[in-house]
Amino acid sequence: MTDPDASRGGPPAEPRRGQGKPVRERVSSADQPSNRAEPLVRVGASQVSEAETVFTRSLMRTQGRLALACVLSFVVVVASVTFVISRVPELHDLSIGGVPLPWLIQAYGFYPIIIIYAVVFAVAATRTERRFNALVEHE
Amino acid sequence: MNPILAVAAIALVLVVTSLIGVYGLRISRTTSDFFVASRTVRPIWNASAISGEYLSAGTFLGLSGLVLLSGSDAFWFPIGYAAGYLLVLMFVAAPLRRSGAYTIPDFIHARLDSITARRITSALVLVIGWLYIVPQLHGAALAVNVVADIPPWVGAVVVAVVVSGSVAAGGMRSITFVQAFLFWLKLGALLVPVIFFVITLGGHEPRIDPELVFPAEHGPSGLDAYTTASLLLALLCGTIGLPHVLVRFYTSPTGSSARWTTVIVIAMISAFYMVSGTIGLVARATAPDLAKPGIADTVALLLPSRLIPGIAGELLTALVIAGALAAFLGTSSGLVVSLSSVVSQDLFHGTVRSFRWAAVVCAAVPLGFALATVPQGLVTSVANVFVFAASALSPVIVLGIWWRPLTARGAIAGMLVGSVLCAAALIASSVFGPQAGAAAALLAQPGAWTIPAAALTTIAVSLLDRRTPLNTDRMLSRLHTPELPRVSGSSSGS
Repeated sequence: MTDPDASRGGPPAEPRRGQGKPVRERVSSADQPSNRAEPLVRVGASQVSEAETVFTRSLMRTQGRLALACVLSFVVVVASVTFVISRVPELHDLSIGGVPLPWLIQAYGFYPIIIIYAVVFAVAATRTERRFNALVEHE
Repeated sequence: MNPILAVAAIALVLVVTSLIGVYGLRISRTTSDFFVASRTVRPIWNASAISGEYLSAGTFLGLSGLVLLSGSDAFWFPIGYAAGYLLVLMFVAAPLRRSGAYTIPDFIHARLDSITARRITSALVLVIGWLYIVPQLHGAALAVNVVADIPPWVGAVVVAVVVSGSVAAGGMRSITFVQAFLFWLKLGALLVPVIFFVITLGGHEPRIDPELVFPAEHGPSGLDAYTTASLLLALLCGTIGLPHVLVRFYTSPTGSSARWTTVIVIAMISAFYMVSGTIGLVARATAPDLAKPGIADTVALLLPSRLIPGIAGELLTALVIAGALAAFLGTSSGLVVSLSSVVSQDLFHGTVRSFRWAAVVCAAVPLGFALATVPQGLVTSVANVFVFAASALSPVIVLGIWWRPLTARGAIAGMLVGSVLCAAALIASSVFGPQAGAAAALLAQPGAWTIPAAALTTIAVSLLDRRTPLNTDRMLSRLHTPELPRVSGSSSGS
């Protein structure tokens, strides 16, 4: 399984490629004898195999959508909390240790939201990458 | 106030910092050691170091000062700084680590294959870094002046000398340990006094009048929608464009570990901001007489001796001054490291010798600027740097990672438009001030229009230009492809 050519030329690759033809497959893998496992050392003008580009594009889309969804929902949550603490005057009558509730929420309330979003995003992004790696290894 | 204790605290921090720097000297030998700590720093240490670098005079002294001065609006600054790391996590942390570049100009150069784009990025990075160091030196001047009655310039000069000396001596390896130590010192230096304050004040029935101390109009209900939204947008995007933030990710071993490091950073800086904000709330309740511009920023230093009598209060003051010094040193040395990397690689092919000289120059320029100017509010000075970074660099960095059609001309146009518009707005705002009438808010908080302007310019020019670099696919694949587990990498000899 450690031989790159053997692991790349397997039949499971075909359906993934769509219209990819076996002949082209051989050429692109001969073009790139090095295994993906090695971090790329240098970025030159050398060709990227078609499969790699397709996979990378789909990975980028998935990760990009995840990031955008997280940011947008984060903005909505922050805006809602801000609206509540700034436009509901009744909250000002509640206080803990002499400090009104809107002040307390403003001072401490946003950080837990930020931390939760950070953890959720990191878990989701790691999972996407694990799936991607499984797919590439399968190749 | 006891100047001897304060000077002793300052001396102790300086001695410990240089000891860690010297210890680092013995293990930094290669060029790679100097620039990125050979990429072998553990996530928890790396996260401490990033936090230590990020928490500056702006939030250590400035946050409580601004809460005292203007009310709960001040809390938007730390919220924006913490949420800025959320955007770093989501859009840039892992890809930039995988890019393998040392500095932002390195990244732009590799991605766009353009030496002009690289030079412009380097110039912007230098401006951002210098502007960011100035408030740290102002903070140092203010702090030593208030606590020990030492002339203000001494504080600024001492910080500049220590920073450039330790950076030149040890590079980033020792700086990583110094930063990690400084983070815990900063957190402790505010947390211990806060615990004392809460115990002291909690014993008594609060004698304050909430309507007077926490009036609704200075609370969240008094916020201005445009100013708040524009400020938050700038703070959120600005973190991505800060030179000393990105360079830290290169010390994580993989993209994934860079991501988890960022999560730990968010938790650490959040904890710090909550503690620092508490000082502001305590200050509103107990020291309303200090709510004057110029004096308010020193409230964190003055509170301990006011609230806690005797030697305990004096010791706490010494602890706070030690933490404040940690804040000035931490941020400035992180900035000087990344600026020196940029200068030495752009002008002198990245040798260790040039890195050392660059460190001296990169501390000397902002020192001159700091000595020549009068300190403004520390939080707002730091926030202006964020606005500038968000307008000048952030759109190009994010598009470079996520947008395939980006071209070198598009990036150059975007960086120029963003930086020129933002600089013009901030300068106009400081010249005209409130006389600008309806445009005053637009000029004082330009992020809401300069950041979209920069991003749209980049996109429009790239689409017209169409000359995407030849290596785009290769570069994007490198940025986004996760590292495989080491085990399957054994076939390289085949």
